[in-house]
Amino acid sequence: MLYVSMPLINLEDVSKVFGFGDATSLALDSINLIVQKGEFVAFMGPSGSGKSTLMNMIGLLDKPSHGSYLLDGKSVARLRPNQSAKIRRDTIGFIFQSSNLLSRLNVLDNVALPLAYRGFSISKRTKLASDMLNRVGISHREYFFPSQLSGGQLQCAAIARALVNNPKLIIADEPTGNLDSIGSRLIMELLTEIHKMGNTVLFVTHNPELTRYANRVVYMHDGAIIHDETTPYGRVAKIARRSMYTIPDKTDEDDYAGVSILMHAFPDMSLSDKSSKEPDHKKNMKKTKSQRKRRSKK
Amino acid sequence: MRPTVLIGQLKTGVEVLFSTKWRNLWTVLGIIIGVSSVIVVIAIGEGIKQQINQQIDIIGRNNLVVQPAIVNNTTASPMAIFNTFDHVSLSGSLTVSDMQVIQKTSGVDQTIPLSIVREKAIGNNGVYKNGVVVGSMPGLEKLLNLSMAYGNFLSSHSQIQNSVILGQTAATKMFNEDVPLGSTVYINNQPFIVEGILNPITNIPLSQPVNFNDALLINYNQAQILANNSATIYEIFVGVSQPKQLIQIKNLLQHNLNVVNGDQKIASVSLVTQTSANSKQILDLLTKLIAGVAAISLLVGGVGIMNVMLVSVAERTHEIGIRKAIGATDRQILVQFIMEASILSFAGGILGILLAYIITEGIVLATSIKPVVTWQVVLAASLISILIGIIFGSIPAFKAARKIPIDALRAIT
Ligand SMILES: Nc1ncnc2c1ncn2[C@@H]1O[C@H](COP(=O)(O)OP(=O)(O)O)[C@@H](O)[C@H]1O
Ligand SMILES: [Mg+2]
Repeated sequence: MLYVSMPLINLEDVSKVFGFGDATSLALDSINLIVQKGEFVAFMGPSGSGKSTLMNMIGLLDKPSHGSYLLDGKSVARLRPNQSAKIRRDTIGFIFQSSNLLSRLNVLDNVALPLAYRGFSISKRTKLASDMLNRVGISHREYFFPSQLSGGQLQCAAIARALVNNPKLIIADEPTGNLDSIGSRLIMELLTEIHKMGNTVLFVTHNPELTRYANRVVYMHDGAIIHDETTPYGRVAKIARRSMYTIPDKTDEDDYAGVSILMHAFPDMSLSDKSSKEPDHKKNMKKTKSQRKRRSKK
Repeated sequence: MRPTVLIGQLKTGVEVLFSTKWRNLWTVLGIIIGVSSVIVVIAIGEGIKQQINQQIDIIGRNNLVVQPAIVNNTTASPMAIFNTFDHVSLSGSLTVSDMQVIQKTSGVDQTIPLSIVREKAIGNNGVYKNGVVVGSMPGLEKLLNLSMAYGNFLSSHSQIQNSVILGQTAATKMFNEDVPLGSTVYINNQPFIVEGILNPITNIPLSQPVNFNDALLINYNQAQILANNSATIYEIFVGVSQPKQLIQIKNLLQHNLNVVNGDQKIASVSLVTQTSANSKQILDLLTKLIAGVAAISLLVGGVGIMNVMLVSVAERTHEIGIRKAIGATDRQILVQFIMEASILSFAGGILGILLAYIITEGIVLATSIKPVVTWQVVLAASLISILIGIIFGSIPAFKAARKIPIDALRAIT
């Protein structure tokens, strides 16, 4: 990993609390995360581990309850709505699990919408959107409405929309969640292409296979990052391989003790302080573990 | 905000308007009713004002009108303007002695009374119930611009012979012949010969109590004989010899009339332009009244718009989330929804204008009033309807704009 310049994303002690009083839940628990420009990071972890919450935070759709967030060196944790809207518009491209296209607009208008909010002329945004649809390979569907597209085509359109403003950072929260393996591959190859052009890509996935595309895998559990490894492109991350082959089993006793499947899957990660190649994340892990203990005592 | 953004939002607004269901039509009903009633009322007022002005021009600005004082004090009943009283004025009346005083006053050139004999007229088809026997004098036809379909108007010749001039409706209802010239009409058992038939009369705002289409016009002297000198005179037109002395003659007339009535102001003298000023006052009052009703329906319409926009914002929370996620600012969302609301209310305004047009056409066909719709009124109605959208759309729009993106995105559609 090269630390030659300012990191694109720098989260320090970021927490997110949902709800009030007795219904409070800690979705993010003192997250420390640094992502350099040009990284291709996969986020994994069981449902409810806080991946989406983290993506929303990084994508400025949500604000942290505590902690600081530097995006491209600029503090963005407590921006006014209009300022964060402009950053979302100009520097971040968001791709959701469901494509989230506006059903009333055709594909071309959907893709052109971010440009409209930037005040581009109709002719210019039509051209740019059309080019982008061509790049993602669905230019023959420009005038179709979202309801007339397949799942893969919808995601392609969503990617085109996310890219049309030339954002530095692309965040994809389970972009392949609704797709079959062929569709998933198509989307991941598109993301790879975007990454190769120098963009930073973060994506969430449950499919270990897809870690092949990433150069770094972050594993989350209970609102904390419990594992963070760099992997060569084209290979399934070690941690992911583990979850592929161990089929974790959870017993009633585990439930009672508040032990999750993951602790079975990665006993060394969550329950011991064995030396690691990633001292940064190790520190973080220790902290979350102790916090978890504190919580379970309550 | 750059204009291209606005154009884009205008487009979305129109699309949303056409894609959302029929409930929008009910929503804009208040606007439609409000806008159309304002336009119709103003058009009627404008039409009547123009007709009054024409009438003034016909009767002449240099003439005087003597009317029972009560009429002027109460400025007549508002309905009189619409010429709906077919028969007799509800107000007081002038007397034979008033008439004589006027004729004797110096400076008075011509005196033409309109009097009513409360007797029924009998033609070939028996008693004509709607008929009203009016006693007047030669010269009335010029004064009120009455034109003859057949025959002649009352002449000095008819002062000797009993002759009658029939209104258009009276002529067709009383006789089976197409042109009953020379036929006999019996009024109080006295025979009158039909000497002339009037053309249909649309409207005479300054002599409201009589519908001349139902009238049987006889000579004033004959009328007084029939009524034993107690025929009701409800209006006397007075021509003056010296127009420059109009005001002096008016004052003199008023003084003489007061003296003959025992220092009571029973008869009131006014300039032709003055009488119409009264009608205009009533019109203005009426216009204001109905404008108030229209304002309330516009208010109701505005609340309806607000309601439908609140529902729309709630239903489209997810869409708002998407728009914000891809970089729409609060202000852009605000403008989008205000725009949609004003397009909605503007559409209501346009429908209201169309409805007003249909109603005024109907009024033209069904009544003698000719409403006048001016472009200024149409423009004002359009602007007001847009303004209503902006005002009542702003609360829902603010609600939409303030939504937190992630919460909005989580909303299920
Ligand atoms: N709006 C919210 N209100 C309350 N709790 C929430 C909200 N969003 C997420 N959470 C909670 O935060 C935790 C993390 O959720 P999330 O980030 O969606 O997990 P993941 O995406 O990893 O499945 C979950 O326990 C979830 O219940
Ligand atoms: Mg999620």
